[in-house]
Amino acid sequence: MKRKEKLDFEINLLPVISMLAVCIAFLLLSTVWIHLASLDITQAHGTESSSEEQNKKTLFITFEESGRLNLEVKDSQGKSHFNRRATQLNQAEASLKEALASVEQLNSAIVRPHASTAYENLIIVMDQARKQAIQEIGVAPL
Amino acid sequence: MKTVLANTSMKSALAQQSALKPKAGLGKMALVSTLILTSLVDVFSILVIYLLVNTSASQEVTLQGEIELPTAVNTSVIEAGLVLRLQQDGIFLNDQLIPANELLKTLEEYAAQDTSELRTLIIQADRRSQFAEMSPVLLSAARTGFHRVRFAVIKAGS
Repeated sequence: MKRKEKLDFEINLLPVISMLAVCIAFLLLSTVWIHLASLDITQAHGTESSSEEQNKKTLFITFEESGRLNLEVKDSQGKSHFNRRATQLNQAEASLKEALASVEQLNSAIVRPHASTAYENLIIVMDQARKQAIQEIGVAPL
Repeated sequence: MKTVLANTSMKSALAQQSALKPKAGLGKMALVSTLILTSLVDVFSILVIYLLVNTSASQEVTLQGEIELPTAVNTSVIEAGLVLRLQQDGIFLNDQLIPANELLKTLEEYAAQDTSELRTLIIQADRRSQFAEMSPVLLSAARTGFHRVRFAVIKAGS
């Protein structure tokens, strides 16, 4: 007489848990928690036509040796539309907002650091310019 | 009135599995305690999925050397490119030390290998370094056709 075998419907979860625990331990050790990002700058490569830049206004941010900033907006003909001198670094955001409010279609900026300008301060200014939606940011070498 | 313990048989799992003399409690209920593992599996699964997504979203560029990068908020995702690292002991291009007077020549060699229109140069420098150290790099990059320059920063908040 055949014995009826009981079917066991229970799933053994112990190997699954063991595997998940190993995966978690490995991923915790290998995950990079510091996120690198980038601030992009554009360098001119001589392909832009002069007719496109006829009415283009550019914001020039110049670092002084003391660390203060001079902000000036000029068009392609050299005419100044906005000028703010000796701005503290912590007031850069306010000055940038003022420049953007007073000049229309301001979408490009050129940062002119001093030789002694700290790299960190350059990044701060670029970050503030990006925050004000200035897309084209260039850095002028010495 | 018998207690629950008196009515149950405490038996070991190994003793039950014995083929020669299985010791099973005859006529007594088996005391079985089980753990609910479903929620534990759920938690582990969520942790693994989160860590997997976090790992896959990480960049190809890694930070090396004793450099403290500046932080910024309005950043772009860093993409692959030629990595130039400015350290106290020199300029490293793809982890190779390059003398300052050979930087232009080395960048030209790399530019010759990369035929794309917008070659990318990623600059990693310490936040305390001065711009005077970086200026020659920017000049060399402009001369050798690296029109897209990215400053590596740490995204604020991470």
